Amino acid sequence: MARGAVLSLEQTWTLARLWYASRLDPDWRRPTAAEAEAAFASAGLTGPFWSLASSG
Amino acid sequence: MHARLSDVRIYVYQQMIETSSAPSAADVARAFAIETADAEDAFRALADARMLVLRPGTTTIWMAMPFSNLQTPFTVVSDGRSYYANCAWDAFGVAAVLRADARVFTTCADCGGALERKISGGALTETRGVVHFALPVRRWWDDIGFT
Repeated sequence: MARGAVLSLEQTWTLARLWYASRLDPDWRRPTAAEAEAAFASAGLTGPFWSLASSG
Repeated sequence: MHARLSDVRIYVYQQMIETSSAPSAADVARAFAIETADAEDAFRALADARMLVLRPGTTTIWMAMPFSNLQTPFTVVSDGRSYYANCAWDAFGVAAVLRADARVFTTCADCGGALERKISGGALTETRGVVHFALPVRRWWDDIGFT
């Protein structure tokens, strides 16, 4: 198996807050691919591993 | 009579937070005064939208992300309650959803040692450690249970 991505705990905590902070909002919806990639990028996570460009 | 999917989803999360377990379809049916079959349909619709994950072939909730309805190696303790999370990221996600101080417990995937990290006042109290993501994001939903 190819080596995956390794995140610091700070990055993981930042990502967790970005991803889940609004989960209890009744109007919450799943992010679009672009929104997800923007969230990853704001946590410093970019590149092919974090890309959703080829997802259906 | 049907319940709004957003209301069912919020009810699932409220029950998970209050009891550390996801409600059954029968529980939802009683809460919303609907038929159990309609509650099951709501669960399936939420699962199709990837807002919940059901145990394969059933209408039993497996995941209400970041919470797991089944035992996992990732435990989060907050305000006197203990929760299972689906993975390391989701363990921190539980703390993020609860918006409360929390302790995250797991084991090191390399050496098997016990690990604990704390969230206090919205911040990590100890930042040593890493989290490994094995699969690229675009493959996460190929098999979310494996991921």
